[in-house]
Amino acid sequence: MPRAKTRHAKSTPEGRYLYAVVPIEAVDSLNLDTPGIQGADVHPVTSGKLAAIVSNIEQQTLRPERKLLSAHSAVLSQVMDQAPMLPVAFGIIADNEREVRNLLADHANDFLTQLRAVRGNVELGLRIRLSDPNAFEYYVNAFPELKAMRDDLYREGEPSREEKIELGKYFVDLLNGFREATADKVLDGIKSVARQTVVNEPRKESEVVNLAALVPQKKVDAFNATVEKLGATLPENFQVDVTGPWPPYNFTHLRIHFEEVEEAAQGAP
Amino acid sequence: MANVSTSTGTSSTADVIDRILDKGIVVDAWVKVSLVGIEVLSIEARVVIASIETYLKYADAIGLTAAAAAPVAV
Repeated sequence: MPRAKTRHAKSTPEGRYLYAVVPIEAVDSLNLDTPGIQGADVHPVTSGKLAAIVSNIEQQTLRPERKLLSAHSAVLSQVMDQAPMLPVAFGIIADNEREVRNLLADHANDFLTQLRAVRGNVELGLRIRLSDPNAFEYYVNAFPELKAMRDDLYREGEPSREEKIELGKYFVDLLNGFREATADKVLDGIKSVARQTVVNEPRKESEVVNLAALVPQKKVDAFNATVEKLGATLPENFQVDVTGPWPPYNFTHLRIHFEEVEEAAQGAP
Repeated sequence: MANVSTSTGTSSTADVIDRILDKGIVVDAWVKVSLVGIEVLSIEARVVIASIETYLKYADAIGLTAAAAAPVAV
């Protein structure tokens, strides 16, 4: 590694912070005036049919601070509004521009395939949570079996540890079943307006459904209308939130391990 | 009938974090993120994973609903 070189190359940082990958034909008309991480200028690095959207940065470790996360998101939003794109996760820094070009060249097929899959679509988030301030109150009332078990166990004061574990386990099973059934209902409702969907793990007990949908740009209004209609069939203690449009984070599946690439290139030792 | 709020172009920090930290293109060798700041969030996300401790915590929360619902002692 050219460590000596970076030491006296202080004026222009060689590191490249990555934001997104776009098709080359989008580059010429791309407006990239949103400041990048640490206020740096954002520019494309091209190779073949692809371009990476990057900004210069000193090699360093970044903390996921609000300011940095916002800068990353802002650049992505601007790109998303203008071109098909694959978002890069926060905090990915290449040593230099050559490495970025190599990345694009080595994985060109994967990038192009995924770009084709998301072209013309946006990601929307759909989250359902209980609007009840006490989620457990809601569940106890929604599941009579759970209420009966609670009354049984707590009638004589504090239950034993074993009984509590049994109750907790029973609740988790009920909750999982409830979440699954609700997610299935939602998925069924939105299937005509979403090209793909990903169901993610809810973040806390009061959350029932957490999913992402890849929606054709032209169908965003239809998606919202469909969710409105769906909401009418859901209990009134449910709060349904649609978020986005987001860059297609949940529909970009590229985790690149260099070791594998090197092995493949060198063949058997 | 559930309350529905549809996409307005705004996003909460939680929704951003949900996506940008581990989704999208990830180049393992180039990840330059100090995880110190997100510890709490990832722990919160793992609350849902079932464990004995979670079961006990849930049982207590369910038990409390009984106390809240119980009529005032005569």
